[in-house]
Amino acid sequence: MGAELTAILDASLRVLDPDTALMLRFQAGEAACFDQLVARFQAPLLGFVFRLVHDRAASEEILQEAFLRVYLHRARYQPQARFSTWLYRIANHLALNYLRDHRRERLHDSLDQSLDGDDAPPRQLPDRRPSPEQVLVAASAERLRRHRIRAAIAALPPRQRSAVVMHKYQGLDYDEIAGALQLSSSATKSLLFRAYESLRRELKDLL
Amino acid sequence: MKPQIPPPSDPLLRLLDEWQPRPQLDPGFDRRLQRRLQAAAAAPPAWRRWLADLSPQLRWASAAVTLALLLTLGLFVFRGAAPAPPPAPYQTAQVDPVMRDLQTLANDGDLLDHLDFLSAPNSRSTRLQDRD
Repeated sequence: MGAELTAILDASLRVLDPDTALMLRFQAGEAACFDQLVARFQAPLLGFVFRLVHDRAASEEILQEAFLRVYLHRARYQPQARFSTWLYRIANHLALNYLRDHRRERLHDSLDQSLDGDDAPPRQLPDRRPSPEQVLVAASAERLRRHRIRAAIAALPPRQRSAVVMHKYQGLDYDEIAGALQLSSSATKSLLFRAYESLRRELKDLL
Repeated sequence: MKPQIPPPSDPLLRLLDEWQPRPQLDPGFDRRLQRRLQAAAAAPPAWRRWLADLSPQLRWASAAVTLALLLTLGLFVFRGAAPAPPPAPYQTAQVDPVMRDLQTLANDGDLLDHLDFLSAPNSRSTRLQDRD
């Protein structure tokens, strides 16, 4: 009885989730809702995919493909899962496929790549810098740290990498991560625990 | 040991905060997406695209094969050719009465032959005793 009540309450909350509601309206034929979903998710999803593939053009391509799949397969969406979970699942699947297909190229690129390959806007340097040399040294040290972090995350197995990016950088909760990776909640926690332990070992000199 | 996810205040998670790439979307992203959506919506179904990619000969051949399959299926359905029901587990075989009579006669014939065979040595010994 209690479990049934919880399930009904859970389903109702999901329906009340604004993104899920938008998706259901899109399913019912309101095309404008799709544009709203794209506008809401394109920035966070780009951040997610970029952290996995480290290539802006490829990330955009994956994003386009993910939205295209949502559009084409809208009839398949079931509101048992949140819309964001479904979208992250699609994007994660596409990103991991991309990484699998471009493994050799990435290895080649990583040898040539500069340390600051994040396509980040130019860093805002503090106004009161003592000297250009000191700033350069500090900036290069920071770049090196960022590169180490990025490399440590990239070295994780694909599922662990996705889980860490979803948990740490996208702020998804365990259930959403579990839904996106199609794992149980306990398996997701175990996966995250192992991933963070690996990162802690890899980055212990920076802690 | 129960796996414990580090809290946000954990030094590791604070270190991970340092990696904050800010990729920017290309200004033409929405336009390109709209173009792709329109193209996908206007695209014919996959089976028609597959058919369009075939050469004319193969297209005719596939049409002929499909037609033949449909005809076979139609015949099968209209002639009521359903698979034979499995025999009942304890059903006895139906035997024609004439065959049964013939079988009985044959069995009787066999029995008489056996009787002859059994009675033959006795009759011979009787004959030998008579000679003595």
